[in-house]
Amino acid sequence: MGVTRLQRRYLLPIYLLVAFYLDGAISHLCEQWLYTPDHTLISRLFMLVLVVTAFVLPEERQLTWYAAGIGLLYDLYYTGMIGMYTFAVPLIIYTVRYLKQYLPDSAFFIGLIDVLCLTLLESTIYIMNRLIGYATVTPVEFISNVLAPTIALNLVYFVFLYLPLKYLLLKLKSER
Amino acid sequence: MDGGEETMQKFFSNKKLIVLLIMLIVCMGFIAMSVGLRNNKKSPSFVRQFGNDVTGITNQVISVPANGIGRGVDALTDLINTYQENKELKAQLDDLAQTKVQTQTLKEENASLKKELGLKGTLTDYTTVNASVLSRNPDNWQNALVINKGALAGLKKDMPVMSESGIIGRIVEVNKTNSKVELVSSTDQSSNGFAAVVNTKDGKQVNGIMSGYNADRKQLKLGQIKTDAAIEKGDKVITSGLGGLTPKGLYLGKVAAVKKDDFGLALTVYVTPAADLNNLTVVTVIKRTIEGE
Repeated sequence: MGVTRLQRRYLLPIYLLVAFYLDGAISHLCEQWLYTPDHTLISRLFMLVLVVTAFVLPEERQLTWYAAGIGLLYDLYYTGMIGMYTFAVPLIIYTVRYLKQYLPDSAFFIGLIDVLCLTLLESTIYIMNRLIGYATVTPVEFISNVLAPTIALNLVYFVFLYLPLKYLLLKLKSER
Repeated sequence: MDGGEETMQKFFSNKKLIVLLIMLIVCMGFIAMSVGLRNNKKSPSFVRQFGNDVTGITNQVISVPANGIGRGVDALTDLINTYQENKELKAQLDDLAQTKVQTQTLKEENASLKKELGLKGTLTDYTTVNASVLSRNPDNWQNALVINKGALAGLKKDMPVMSESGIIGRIVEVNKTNSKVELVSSTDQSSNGFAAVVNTKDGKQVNGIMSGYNADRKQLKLGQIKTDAAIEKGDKVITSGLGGLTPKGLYLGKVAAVKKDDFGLALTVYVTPAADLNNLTVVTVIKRTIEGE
């Protein structure tokens, strides 16, 4: 039992890290399709993993802390501005874990919450970047050129990855 | 009993609201601090550097195979375009050989003349460090890349970074084994504020300063140019080597359009960047031989 519990405790952060690195790899390899003057598609695999975990493994108490860790890592590694993701990601995951008890466990609702989370995250990050002067686009442009394409891309992720991810996470649970 | 539900009985109790507020204030403080750090010369603190180094090294587990796949796909598309490219390249090749020989002769002559004059290094002297791209910031507000060379390879903040064809950006943060590059397409002035020179058709050199990037046109803006300068479309723009760590003679791009600014006092020149900013796998960091400032 001790061995399987150890496995469980280590695997979830590893899944999160892999998703985090895959985001960077996808953005780098597909940059010519993801970043054009008309639209920006932001890959957010780690958000998908976090949201699905919140639903599939509700007994994982550390999830908010993992979210904070991923947020801090993102800030350090990509932007060097500590505070944006470190603040936004755990707060969103905390809210999701709270809302979860009022929502049915169906794929449709998980997808809906994923979209909601992305909207919240992108808007927060946009507003913060706007405040410090990195983002210059207007809110309307942001919604049509960044937010909508991003949600579309991540919905595609969701459609393809929801079942495999759920299977992976449930496997953690049964081994416990 | 479900452990998760217990902990979230009360969502925003008074205590949690206070924690939230404190978190918000602390994060704002951290952001302000980070912006301050970015705008001065210092490298990040040891803890941050260490964190970034560990992240960079573990990142290779994903990025090395991913880059391999990317290179494979690139090779395949290259194969399809080969015939067309081959035809075009053959036409340029004869010209190139002659230019190459000429450049070499001039370089040798230049070196011997410098020796005679006792000059140790001039603005045009630089050494290069090759690095490969590890990852790209998924959210594109800062247009940042992470490359796999850092302070150990002698990189410093604000060094210019090139692809094969031209300047792509500047280093904004240096860790021990990796560093962040901000592309010229960023809105941040420090990444595209290069001192530049336009070589006009009549052999004159006109100085100006890069003053931003126009995302809609995908072009760099070159400002503060005298209105009597005879700049034409197609003129080449290079760095002037004045100020900072940038040497002279790095290719920036070609003039795409010339416009008068709002007050009619100076010209604004739009420059098409020579490098493709959205297809970078290997980059070159430029180290100027003589230190600026």
